[in-house]
Amino acid sequence: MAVIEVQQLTKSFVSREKQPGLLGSARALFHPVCRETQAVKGITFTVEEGERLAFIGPNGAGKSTTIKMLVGILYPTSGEAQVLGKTPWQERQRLAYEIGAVFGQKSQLWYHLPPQDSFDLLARIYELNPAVYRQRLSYLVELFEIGEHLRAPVRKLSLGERMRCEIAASLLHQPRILFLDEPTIGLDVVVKQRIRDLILELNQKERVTIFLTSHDAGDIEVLCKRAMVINHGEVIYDGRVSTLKRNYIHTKTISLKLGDPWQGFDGPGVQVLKHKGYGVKLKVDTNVAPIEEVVGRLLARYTIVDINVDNPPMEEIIGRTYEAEGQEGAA
Amino acid sequence: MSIQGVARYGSVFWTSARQQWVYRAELVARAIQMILFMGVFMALWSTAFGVSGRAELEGYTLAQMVWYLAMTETVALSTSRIFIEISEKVKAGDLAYTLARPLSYPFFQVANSLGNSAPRFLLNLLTAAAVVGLGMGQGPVLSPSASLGINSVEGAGSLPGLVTFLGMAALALLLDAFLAVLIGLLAFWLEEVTPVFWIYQKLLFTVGGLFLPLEMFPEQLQQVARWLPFQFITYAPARAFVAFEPDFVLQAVTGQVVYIAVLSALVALIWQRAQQRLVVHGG
Repeated sequence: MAVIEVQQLTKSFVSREKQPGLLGSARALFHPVCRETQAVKGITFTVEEGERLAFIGPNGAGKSTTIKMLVGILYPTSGEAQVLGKTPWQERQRLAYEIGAVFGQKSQLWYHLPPQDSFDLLARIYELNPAVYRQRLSYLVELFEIGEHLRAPVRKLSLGERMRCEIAASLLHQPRILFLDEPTIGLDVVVKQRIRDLILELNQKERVTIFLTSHDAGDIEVLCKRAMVINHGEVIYDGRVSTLKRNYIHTKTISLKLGDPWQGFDGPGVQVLKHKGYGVKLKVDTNVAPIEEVVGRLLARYTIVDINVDNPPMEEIIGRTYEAEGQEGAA
Repeated sequence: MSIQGVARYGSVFWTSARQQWVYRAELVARAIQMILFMGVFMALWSTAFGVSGRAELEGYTLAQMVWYLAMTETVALSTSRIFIEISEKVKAGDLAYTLARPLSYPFFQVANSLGNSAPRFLLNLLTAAAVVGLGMGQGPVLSPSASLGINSVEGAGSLPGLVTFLGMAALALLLDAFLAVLIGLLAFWLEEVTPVFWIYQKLLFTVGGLFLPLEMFPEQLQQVARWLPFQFITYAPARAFVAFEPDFVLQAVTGQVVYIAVLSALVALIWQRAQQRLVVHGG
């Protein structure tokens, strides 16, 4: 069953432009120059119940704008959308009972109060039956392991602790769809992984549909089966994450700090990007050489002081997607 | 709206009041401000009455005048600053969470604002009453003969006067919260809304009767001021406290309720318009 159906959804912003200086300000007052930017350009897609969809793209690609239209906060310029059979921007308040949203860069918890107070308030706002609420809260507290943080003021929690509480808060009313806008932004690797595991578990236990935006390729790899890549307001890829990974996210970079001088390193699929003294940067094609194997060989050969493995930046993935599109078009 | 619907806003009010309690240092600073203000007013009006050589000015005795000012200040120093939060969030595009709830955003903010005001109001009231009680050497309960007007049935600060004041002050703060939310929502159109607040604040100072009861205004100005919403916020509750007159109370409460109804409709209308503009500010 489709829970989200989007057709030709478009959003454009009109912004006023002003020449610099006082004269410019005066001119703008009488003859405003307006410029229209299209943030989302007629996108069309469907999401099935229980799916885990990653909506990815660089900053300013239109990800947040799309999410905000789907939860009913923004009015589209044109096009249609149905979320659980409702038009979000027309039935925002009724839809709110059935969907949850987490905005990674914002907070829904009352800053000076313990999370428990925010949860209690949300239970009232969503008109939850007290017995149902108690049961739901204890389930989420256990799942997210936030028992010890419930009574500490939010301002005293670490970002990771707070984020777990934020996600739990969005799940109190048992939403059928969970929208997550950059849920792992600013978190360290371990916490990121933890949050991903939790979201996955939730999807499997409750069949909550997950609609996630991120510009961290790691989120997508671990969490989602399906990915949509959006750039300049257009969908440039919609398909399986495994395909995306095999075709476009198949390289990783390894940055090393060594205990002894660099003597070179050869192997199929490994390319030395640069080396200077004890520092080296390698690029590994994971379709040819698994990352574990390359790291293992490096460890056997060198004394390693520090190591970092990174995914290619989103811009590179986008670039490759375009290249592939171009080739298909030519062929 | 259902009872449960109203109860939800009640929970917002309660949560907001509890969060306000965290700013205890700020509350103490406000109490000190109140002590200073009332000290100045007592000195000023003692001198004014002394110089005039009269026992009453426009129907107010010295004690009534000082108690009147204590009550207008109690309300005025408890008024909403919610426009700051709203305009900042509108400009920063930080409305996403509150908007994604099954609540009306402006009414959520009204409840939030009242929750902010309530603890400050209680503290201001206690401080003002203590300072004036000590400074004037008499409690708020004055003899009926010393009260204003011919229709007055109870003395200043009598129990009915106090209860009426509390009820009218609650309505006054509700009216003020609607005005503050309205000013905050103007951020969708204006770059900076603080000047609008300043205008509102100065209107409270003057035609709201914050520093001077309306009776002391020139006749024509008085006529204008009585029709404006501002006097319902400061003048009317304080006047009801110093001289409890059923007729006056009935009239003033009606005015308050009418203005609250008008403003809530206006806020709903403005919000409808604002939602379509949300875009510009990135949601």
